[in-house]
Amino acid sequence: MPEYKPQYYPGNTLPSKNRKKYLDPTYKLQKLRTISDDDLIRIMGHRVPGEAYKSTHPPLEETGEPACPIREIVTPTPGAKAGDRIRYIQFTDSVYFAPVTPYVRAWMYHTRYRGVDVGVLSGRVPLEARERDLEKVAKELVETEIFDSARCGIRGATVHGHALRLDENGLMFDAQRRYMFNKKTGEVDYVKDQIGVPLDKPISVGKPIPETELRKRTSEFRVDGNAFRDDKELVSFIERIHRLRTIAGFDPEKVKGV
Amino acid sequence: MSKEKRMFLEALRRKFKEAPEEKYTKFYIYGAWRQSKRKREFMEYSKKIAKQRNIPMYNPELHLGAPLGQRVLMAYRMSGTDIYCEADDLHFINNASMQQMWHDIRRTIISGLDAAHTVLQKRLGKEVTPETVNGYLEILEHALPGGAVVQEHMAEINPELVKDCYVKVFTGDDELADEIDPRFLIDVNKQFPEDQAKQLKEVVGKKLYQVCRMPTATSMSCDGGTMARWAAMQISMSMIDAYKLMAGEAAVGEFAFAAKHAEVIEMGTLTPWRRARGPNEPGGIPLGYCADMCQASRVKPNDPVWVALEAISMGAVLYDQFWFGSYMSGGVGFTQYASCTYTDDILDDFCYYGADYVKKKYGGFGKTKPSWDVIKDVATEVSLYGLEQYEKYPACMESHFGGSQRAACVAAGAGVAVSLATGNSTAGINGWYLSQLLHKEEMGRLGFYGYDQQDQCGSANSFSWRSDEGLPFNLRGVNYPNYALNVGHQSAYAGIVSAAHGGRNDAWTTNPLIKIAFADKNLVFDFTHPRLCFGKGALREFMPAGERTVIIPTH
Amino acid sequence: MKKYKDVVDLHDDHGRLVASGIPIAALSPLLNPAIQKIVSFVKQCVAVNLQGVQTSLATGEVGGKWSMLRGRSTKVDLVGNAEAVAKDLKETLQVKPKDDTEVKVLKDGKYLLVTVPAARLNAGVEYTTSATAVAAGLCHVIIDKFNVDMWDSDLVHAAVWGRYPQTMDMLGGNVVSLLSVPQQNEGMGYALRNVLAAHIAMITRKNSMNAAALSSILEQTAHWEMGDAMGNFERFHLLGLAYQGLNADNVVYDIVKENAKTGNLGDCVRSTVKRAIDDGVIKPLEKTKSGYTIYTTNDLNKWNAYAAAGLMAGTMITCGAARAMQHTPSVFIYFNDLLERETGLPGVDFGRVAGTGVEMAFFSHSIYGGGNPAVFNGNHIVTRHSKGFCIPCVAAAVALDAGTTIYTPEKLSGVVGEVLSEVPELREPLKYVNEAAVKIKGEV
Repeated sequence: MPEYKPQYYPGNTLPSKNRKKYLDPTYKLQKLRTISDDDLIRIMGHRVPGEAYKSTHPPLEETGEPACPIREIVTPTPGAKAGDRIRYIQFTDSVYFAPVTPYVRAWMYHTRYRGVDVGVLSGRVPLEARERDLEKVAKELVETEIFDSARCGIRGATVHGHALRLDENGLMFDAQRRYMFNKKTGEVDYVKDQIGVPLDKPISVGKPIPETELRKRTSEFRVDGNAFRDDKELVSFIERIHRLRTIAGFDPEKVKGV
Repeated sequence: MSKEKRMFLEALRRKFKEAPEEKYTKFYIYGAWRQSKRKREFMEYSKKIAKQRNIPMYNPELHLGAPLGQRVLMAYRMSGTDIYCEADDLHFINNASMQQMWHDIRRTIISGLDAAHTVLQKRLGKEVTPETVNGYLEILEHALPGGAVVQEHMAEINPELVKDCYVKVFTGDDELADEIDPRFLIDVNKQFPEDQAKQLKEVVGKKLYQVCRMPTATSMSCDGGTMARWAAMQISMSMIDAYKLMAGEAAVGEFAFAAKHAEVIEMGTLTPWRRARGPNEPGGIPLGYCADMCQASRVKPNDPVWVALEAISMGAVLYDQFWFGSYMSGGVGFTQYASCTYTDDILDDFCYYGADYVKKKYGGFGKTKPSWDVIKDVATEVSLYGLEQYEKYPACMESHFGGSQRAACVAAGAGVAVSLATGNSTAGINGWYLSQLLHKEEMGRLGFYGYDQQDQCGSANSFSWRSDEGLPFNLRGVNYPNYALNVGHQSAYAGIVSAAHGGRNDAWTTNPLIKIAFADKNLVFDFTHPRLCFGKGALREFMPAGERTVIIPTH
Repeated sequence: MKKYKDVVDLHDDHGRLVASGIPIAALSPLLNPAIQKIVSFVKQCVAVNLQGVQTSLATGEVGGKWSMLRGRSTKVDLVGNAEAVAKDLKETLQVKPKDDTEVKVLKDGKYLLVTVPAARLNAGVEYTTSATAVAAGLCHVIIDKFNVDMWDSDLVHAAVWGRYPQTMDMLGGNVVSLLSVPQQNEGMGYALRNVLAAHIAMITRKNSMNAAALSSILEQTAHWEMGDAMGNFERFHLLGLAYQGLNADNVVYDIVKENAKTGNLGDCVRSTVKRAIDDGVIKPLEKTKSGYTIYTTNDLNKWNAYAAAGLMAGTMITCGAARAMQHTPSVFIYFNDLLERETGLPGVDFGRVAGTGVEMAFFSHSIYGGGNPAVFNGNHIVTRHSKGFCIPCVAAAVALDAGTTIYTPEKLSGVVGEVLSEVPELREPLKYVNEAAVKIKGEV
């Protein structure tokens, strides 16, 4: 038998191939912009830059741990070791050719990062982790190709907008107007943090990726882009999963060699 | 402007300034909540109330960050009508017709009369004839709404408050039906098209059933568990009066047993501890009962899609807005999970597309047995169609701004189509589940945090026959374990049941007695055209029952 | 019961080999004596908060929080006389001298661990017998021993039984069973599923492997009780119990060890797939146009067991790394999503674990109800949907939490967890089940 090689995702069209790429932890996400650590902390809004991390319990070394064979071997993350609070960063991705979709985020968060709690809704993807671990991960999520300043939003509440038409500058709607298009610089500036508290000064998250470029990077199927129905491999893959689940529910013995 | 014909385009053109195909618009310029007539009205009321009671109230400026209305606040078209309203008009608290639909369901109890007649004849040697039955019914028309019959010095109920309370009977026996006072009769021959009447009469046969409608005022003050008890009390008292029995002899105990237990058909059964409610509450009403309560099937028998859409609207209000939106939660969250299925003709478009596909490919409705190939073909095609409409028409995507709304509508189209093709509602729901999995993969998103719990379990549980998994789809409801938690499904589920049987020209889907019981022109809510009735409620043109005008100060 | 060809190697909670080639039937709840003893103890064992009874009597605070009967009070020193109370209670409950009745005094007299004789349970059909027998017996002992007169007997009832029978359960009472009253069970066969993950974690003193084992035993046994583990589905549940709950073939421990230092959930998925390929459970079926390999299996039940073991390992890695329980539902959904997209085969419990994860994610992260993972159980409407494959992972995760929640397992479990952890078979189930399986391997 040939040696097992991880394959991550089926499908034969551009969005499928992009999904596979983003899920593959050996693929290095392309850096497109730089946001300073402090600016990212300001946007996330959980602490003031320089402030010590608040904890939810004392450091593990102080309290000791119950006798448990799993604790003996599984290394806690730095945030867990220190007893950090669990905090969040949350993204909304537009339906208009955003680089990643909510489920793609969840899948890639779990293939790339350790000790993360991700949830998925159509309009938001919360990522919760121990605070210092979260800050490390958040950097990659905002600085790389999976984030577009116009079609992705960092928003903690009032997330309405992923399915709305775009504004005159091509930005996704945000009921709290956390970000604005800076006509002078051509960049998108955050003027509020992710929960909507005004920032002391605007923070740029860079220029929007042109749509021609977005269409190459996107993991979204669209009938005006790459239609799902044209990825016959992926469609029949899902049909297969459904069929096997259905038959197995009736009698698992009936699923053999298929 | 698109030259393609879509049922929803008219509504979209009315809702938005831009063409439905346009991808760009403006935001933040609408004056927030002030753009809405309803919300301005709310604000006016709120200011007065806050002054009167000295406790603040509705204030949209308290919204986190910025008040709502930073985008266009859309009008909604009631599907299948030309009524437009605002979203607020579709919250069930604001809509008297929705409330009345629920009261009319909750206050209905069906019970068989034959057992009581056997007690009279065999145990007590009394004669029972159509004349005595009419006599009994006249007494019950007095007693059921709160008139005393046997006891002196009773506190009785003002008829004006309870004028919607009455009893009617039905039977499958034409001869007996001819002898019943027509004021008290649900006439199967008059209410149903010939073929449906034939099916119903055949199954009911010579049995005689009474349908008691307790007052809406009772439904508002008490609960569903009250109804069978109220009916049984007054039935028993009326029997005593009509047949001159001792007021409390042993035989009367048998009437009570018959009326409260043995012969009674409740609309809903009990729910367990964690979401405990008594009988005749939405949690215990199976999908097939909801589909049977819908009377569109007898006014448009040749359009099972229309019928399914009407059943869907009832399911949306009953299960998603009342049960999940209030009984299980409360507040403001749930209206639009439900209203997406009965507004703007979007779901209508998907369902008629599916129906046309089935007609072309499979030669009509109910013409093919369930099979993996049919489910896969029909559900995949209709799902892809639905998804593509959202993508082709940005205004359509924006109308269904939540993923759960789109998930429900796309899958409803798929499920209804599979039901139409196969005549099997369990196959239909399996098609719904395939649709959800395809949707999740296509869009890379689906619904709210917990939306697809039942959709992930659903493939395996469609045809499972294990303890708490197996059950024909008609008999499932919101107490079927997988379905107990999530809004945005049951509306369409009622339609999937409806479509399976409508496509086969069945006179009912699950319970013929319920089908007949709701073919009653005296009901306050119009079960033949629910969406039109909801629309009237939205426009404040619907007069409900149970108003307390006669017992409160003028105001 | 059918004869199954499957044999497994048994390992302890540290991944050390205990015995090889054990037929899986030796792990069946229908045959394994240790599992039967565990189930029996769950019925027989009851925790008594003697301090709680004493305080209630002294203050008149009976029948639930904030229920305070002014002017009602009687002082009895139950804690100071705990040994005597225990002796009298034992005598009251005993059916025969030297039978299996036991009353153990704990925490300097504050708690009692009572084991009601099996004869009492066998004399009827209810499983609430232990709770009612202990409650009734304790009332007798208090009234007789401390000469409580008629005018205070109602207070004694309330201090022990709580607000029963006005409520269906013993609201505010001080006699606690691990099992809930039957009215609180969702359906037939759900009694053993109605045990909070918090209790499991506390009873096993937060040993994650034993938490998984105890929970899996209760969950899977329930599936025999409800009729699900029947016919072609029996092996499905047997293998699930063996591999996910009891670390058969060391699959769980091996995958955890492989990923212990730096691995994440995605790594656990790949480890699971590799292990399944290496053990011959799955193999390639065909390659698609894109070069993707679709896998197949001739033994879907065994694939499910491996996937379930991988799910457990994934939980231990994700929640272990974070030392936090809240990640559990995320694991349920995305382990399965990734596994299905890696292989083309259905995930654990054929989608039901993913579905349960979706619901649990919602109800542990929002306004609609639920709470943190420790409040969930197999009877909970949120988490009942997977047939025994979720809650063992929840229990393991709750055991691994370092204190990230306010409603801690300690708070939620209260007396029950602390007292029942004194029962060795409940505290270290893996050891006893393995020993029993070895003993009966020749007979099954």
